[in-house]
Amino acid sequence: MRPLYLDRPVDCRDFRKWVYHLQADELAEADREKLIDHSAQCEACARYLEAEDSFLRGLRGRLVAEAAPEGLETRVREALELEAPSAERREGSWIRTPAVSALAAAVLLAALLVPTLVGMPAGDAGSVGEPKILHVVKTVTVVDHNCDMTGASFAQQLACRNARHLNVLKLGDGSYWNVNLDHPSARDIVMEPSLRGSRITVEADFYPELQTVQLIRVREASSRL
Amino acid sequence: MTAGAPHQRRDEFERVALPHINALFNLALKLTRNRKDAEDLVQEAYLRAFRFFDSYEAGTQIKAWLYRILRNTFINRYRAAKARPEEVDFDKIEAVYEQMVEDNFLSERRAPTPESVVMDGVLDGEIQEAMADLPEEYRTVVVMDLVDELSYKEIATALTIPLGTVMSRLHRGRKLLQAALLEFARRKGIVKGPRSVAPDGDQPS
Repeated sequence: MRPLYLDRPVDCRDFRKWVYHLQADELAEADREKLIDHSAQCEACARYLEAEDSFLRGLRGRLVAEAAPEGLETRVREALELEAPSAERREGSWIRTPAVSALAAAVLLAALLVPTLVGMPAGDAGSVGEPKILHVVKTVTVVDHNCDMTGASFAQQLACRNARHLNVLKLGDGSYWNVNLDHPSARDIVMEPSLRGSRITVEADFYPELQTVQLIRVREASSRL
Repeated sequence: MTAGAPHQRRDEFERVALPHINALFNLALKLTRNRKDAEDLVQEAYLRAFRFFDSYEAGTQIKAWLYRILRNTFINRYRAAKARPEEVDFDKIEAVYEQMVEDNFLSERRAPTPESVVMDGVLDGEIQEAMADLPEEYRTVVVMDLVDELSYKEIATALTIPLGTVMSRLHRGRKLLQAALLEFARRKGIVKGPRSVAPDGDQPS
């Protein structure tokens, strides 16, 4: 059942806003009919639809998928063969587990922070050898890094009891921030499975090179997703 | 997916996952804009998918699952150092696009079509460039829609984003792509245009 988006007669502005979804045949029948009815009565929009149909035909004709180069499949098979015998062991390895970068980054960040905390205000860095720092206030989601990378739902992440899985902060664009452990709330955020799916707003110093935040303040943004 | 002997697990993974290597490579190429990086990304995504193959639910769409892993791998590997998302002045570009469509294809009853003028007038390299210049979140959705012809629901599943976000990104992505192609055509003098609609803000000569 497709959702309804158009709860009133459409005008030309609506038509142009929804025309791509009309072309893709992704609208509910009632919405589709409203747009078609409008184009039947509006010559400008009918011609606009023709122009967009023409553009779409041209795009589909020129945007063809490129085949993978010869040899890539063999390369992947060979890599999988090397991976397979030790897959189980590696999956649990601290070195290869992606979320462990949170801890590694935390250790590294601690070293980087020493000169920063001693002699330089946050956000004022930039010279050679000093970490670049951005002050950020952002609403993010706490996720289990390993599980989230594979698309596991929040329910699955909450149920995951793999002690080696650590939490990270997920941004709206799908990227992740690691959390430096040097804050009273940080350990819970990184270690606590029950927080997965929680939306929190963090004020923090962000280290782009490490994709890591040094928390300043944390508050709950909303109920769990 | 149930665990079996290591070779059975790998055989099963290869059987269901490797047939999608062309689609994965194509998306990887659009994301990385570089063939070598695309090959590395595909290999890394396959290895990551294999490691987590036990979490794949047999019978669900594996292509969407692989796409999701490939894109997550890309974001973590290639965008790790990027602090801000790419930004474009969409409203401004859309306004110029609408004006150019109006002036070139709607104003006269027997006006030429975008397919015959723009799409026949631009080079393959210019289409690739226009695609490469799209912000990543739009580019991914446009590739999945126009090249792979996935449904909105499949795209939403692959990217773990709401349906409304798919619609919004697709609208903006297609508009930006077509605006960039119109700009190439304007520079060649085959369409009229008041000023540049290039996302980089290039001004008319």
